[in-house]
Amino acid sequence: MPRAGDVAPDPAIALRMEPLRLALQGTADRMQHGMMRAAVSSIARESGDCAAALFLPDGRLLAQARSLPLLLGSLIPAVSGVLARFPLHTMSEGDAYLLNDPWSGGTHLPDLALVHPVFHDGEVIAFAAANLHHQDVGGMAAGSIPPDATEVYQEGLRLPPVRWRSAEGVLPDIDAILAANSRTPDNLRGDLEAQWTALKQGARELRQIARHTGPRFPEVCDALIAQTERMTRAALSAAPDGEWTWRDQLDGDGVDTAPVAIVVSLRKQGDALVIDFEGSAPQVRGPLNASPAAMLSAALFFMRTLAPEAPNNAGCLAPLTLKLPPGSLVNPALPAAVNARTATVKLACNAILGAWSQSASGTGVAPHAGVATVLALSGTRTDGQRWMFTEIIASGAGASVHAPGRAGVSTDVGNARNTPVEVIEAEAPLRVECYEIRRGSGGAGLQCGGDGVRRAYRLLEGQGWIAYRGERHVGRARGAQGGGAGANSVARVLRVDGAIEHLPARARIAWSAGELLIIETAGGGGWGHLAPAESANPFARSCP
Amino acid sequence: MNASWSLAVDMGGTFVDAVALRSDGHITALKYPRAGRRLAEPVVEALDLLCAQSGIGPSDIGRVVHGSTVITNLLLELNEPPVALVLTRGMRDVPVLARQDRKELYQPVIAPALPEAKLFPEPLRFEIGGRIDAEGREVEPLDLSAVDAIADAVRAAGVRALAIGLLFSHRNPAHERALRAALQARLPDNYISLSSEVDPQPREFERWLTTALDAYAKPLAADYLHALAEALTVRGLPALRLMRSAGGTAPWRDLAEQPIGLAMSGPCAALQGVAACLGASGPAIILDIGGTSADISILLDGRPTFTDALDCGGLPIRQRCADITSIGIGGGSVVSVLPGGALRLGPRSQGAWPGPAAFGLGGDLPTLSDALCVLDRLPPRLAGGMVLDRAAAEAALGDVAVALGLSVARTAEAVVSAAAAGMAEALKTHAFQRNLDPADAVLVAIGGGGAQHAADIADLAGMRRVLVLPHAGVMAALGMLCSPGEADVRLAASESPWEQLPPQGEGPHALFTPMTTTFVPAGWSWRLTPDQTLTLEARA
Repeated sequence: MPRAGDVAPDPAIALRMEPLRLALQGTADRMQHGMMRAAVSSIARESGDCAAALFLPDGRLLAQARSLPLLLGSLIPAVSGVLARFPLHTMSEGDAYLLNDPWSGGTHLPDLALVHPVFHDGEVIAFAAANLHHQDVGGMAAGSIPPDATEVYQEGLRLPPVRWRSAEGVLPDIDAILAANSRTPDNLRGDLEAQWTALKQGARELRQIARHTGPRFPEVCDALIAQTERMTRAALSAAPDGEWTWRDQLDGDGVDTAPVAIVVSLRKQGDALVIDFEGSAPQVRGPLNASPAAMLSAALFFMRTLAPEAPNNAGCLAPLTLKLPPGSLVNPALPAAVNARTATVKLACNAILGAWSQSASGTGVAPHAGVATVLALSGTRTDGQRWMFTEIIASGAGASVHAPGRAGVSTDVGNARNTPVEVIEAEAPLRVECYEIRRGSGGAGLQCGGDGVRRAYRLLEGQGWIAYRGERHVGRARGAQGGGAGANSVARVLRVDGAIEHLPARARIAWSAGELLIIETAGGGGWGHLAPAESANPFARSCP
Repeated sequence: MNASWSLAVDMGGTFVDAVALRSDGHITALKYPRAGRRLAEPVVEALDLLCAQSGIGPSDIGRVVHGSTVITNLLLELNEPPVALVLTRGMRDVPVLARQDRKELYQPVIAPALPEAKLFPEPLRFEIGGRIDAEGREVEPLDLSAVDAIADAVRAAGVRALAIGLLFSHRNPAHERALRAALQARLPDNYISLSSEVDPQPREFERWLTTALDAYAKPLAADYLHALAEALTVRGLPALRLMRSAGGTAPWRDLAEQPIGLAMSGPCAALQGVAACLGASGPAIILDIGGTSADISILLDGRPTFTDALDCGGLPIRQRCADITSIGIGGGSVVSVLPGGALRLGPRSQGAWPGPAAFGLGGDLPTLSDALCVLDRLPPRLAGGMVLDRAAAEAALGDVAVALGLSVARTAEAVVSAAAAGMAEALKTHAFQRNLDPADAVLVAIGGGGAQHAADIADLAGMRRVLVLPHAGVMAALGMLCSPGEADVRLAASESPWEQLPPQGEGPHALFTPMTTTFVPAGWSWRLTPDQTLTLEARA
């Protein structure tokens, strides 16, 4: 068992740490549940595209709900953005602040972050914060994620940090602007109220926790953050020093199809780490640019994996210097379009994992395929009735020295669930002919990368549209330590006349009754060299 | 008077609890050590002993009810042989792909959704052609040509049980039934579970997994229940009834046919027992703490609440059952310190065997019970006569104290506070998710450790009142005799379990009685009420 550090702990603090950690974690999780239950739009209510967290008055992260890493990390710059515009002494009890501006701590415009100062005995003791993917905040296309946007002004209403609510209620001016700029104002208002419900619950519980913890509440919070920092630095110290670079690419920027480079270098010295995206492509015309707030989610995800048992707070970021070159894909200048940043953040996150896998730290994993294919199918039945459904299809996980990668699983900053076949067939004129592991698609190696999946849909009546957003049709998830790359994603339509039409990474095409859409998602990277005799045979695999 | 007694027997991890209830409300109970044996034997022995002690003959007994953790433990341990699955063509990986999400967000290596190799490895997952649509219409006939090959493969693998899962069988079970008939004809000795019978609801992954687990449990459940029923018949006792997860009792044959319905048998019985003891009352939160886990549930208007989903060792099971959250904190939970000095309790547990260091049974890892022992919150001698070894408890906590840089006593305090916090968080989450603010409810403590931690937990959850019921230690067995639909008998304990206690007082104070230890923290008081309930109250 480890020994205590140099500093003799103060028993009054030490005794309160684990109870406080559990209470903060529980509170953040209950905020998340409350928000999902109160949400109006299905994207938040069913898919859980929302996140809740608690912060200290100086903006340091105190605890996060166990929800979506993609959104959780982005709340950190959102709170900083609010504090930069509204210093602590200007805040009043009952206030809440709103923002979505990618240049003030936001990610993409549909994600509205809401921040509420928690007062206790007249002082701000914490912030409760939540963000949620709203159904529509205006812009050139319904849903505010236009695939062909080339600047942020086409993507919807941009909100720098503004006061949304005071003790008297929602401010009528801002409410009027919000409602006038959304195609679905009732959903927008309802989902903001769901966020507010979560913040109120969090604030109420935090006050109770602070009362219980006593006057030394701030010190116990600091001790938890220091503990996480110690645990993260210990994990870094245990790995050898060095510098590792990983290159990957996106299959185009959403508008142009030329591959877009993502390059990351990890420089680890002692108990500190630099993650530097120097060498990544300049910002692109299409909407795949990722704001610094979005990129922080990728970095935070990786830092959390170093000491996953540590308390869930800002301490894990203390050893990190994150460098995002200005004007690049990962730190674009105004007015870059940013709505499709998820693919970029996921690939960036896996590039970090790829770089770390070279470090011989013993904790590495090969990059996950990192593809969350977004499939939106719609159409008209023979009786004229319209139908539509959207789902997210996962790909293969990377292998590690300990185990093969898992097949068909949400990885890195995402955690979407699949849609049951019986739900799809009950809602749409489709027959799902298979949902299976795409065997052999994971990268070869001493441990094989996780396989992707195969899903096949037959349209049963009328005409329909396929809106497909995949990734890794051109690029592949490379293996680590000599392991092979995972297979590419493939998508195709079998036409009634027998023709086969292959889809590119981003496509919108029509199909008719009787035709079959087959989607095969990419495999994860393998781990470790195969023996030469085996690797000479392209079909040889060291695992079943 | 003939047939004036009802018997109930609850098999837990450490003890078999047996209770006899006379029609006038008189109760007699005993705890019988299970001594590691799993099947019918200790249950029969406990019943024999109870009848012998109380002079109850076979003709005096009107009914025998049994509740069991056999299925729960089987699903936690997964030591049974795997089963074969026969699923709709194109869907054989559905049970493995699960819902595509992961449980641990930040673990670098993503764990499998479930232990495929133990439950239904790939060579045992078969596919069959034929489709029913969402309206329940046949759109492609069942293709029975594959049945011979499947039967041969199942026979060759030596598998004893199969599960059949076809899409939309909850709308139209015709294909599943035809497939069963075809397979049963070729495999007359195999158990077969149908998804349209086990869990006739939409969403194929959940239905098929529940059905697979039903099949997984069936060979052992059938052997066990047949043996037990046979032993009762030999003794001239009435036919065995079983406590179901969903409340109420059923003939044993029903549950041998569908053993997944026993997954929450014991906890549900305990909840029914509390409901019967409390009668109609305001909202109550029930806290049942044992050696390895703590169960949390709610009574609204004096009645248990039910749900359609339970989690058994990480396996999602979709069955109607009492709405109980179970977390892995109990007296045997192991204390550890992570690098960086972070104290953690569990998930590892020493359970009943080898148990906490203080039990002197060979366990030497520090546990929650060891911390309680160091703080003098356990009596020197436990129920069953076990003498606690305080020096062993202190020694076991020594390494933890060094790692934390605290004294052993302070370390023990930190461990007990962490346990209370963990259980309080689970309690708050359970209550708030069901629209109940814990502050509006009373906390009812049962099980060996419920009353030990209840007031600490109530404090953290903003609750002001804790009730410790008489018979808290055998509540599950008692609850089996209080099912809705069973004869309504008001319980009247023959002697007070609290007679050695002062009728009231102020904390901090540990109250030791033969079956239960109750801890009254500083700021709390206790009093005995005429209905033999021990009531703890927070001072304003």
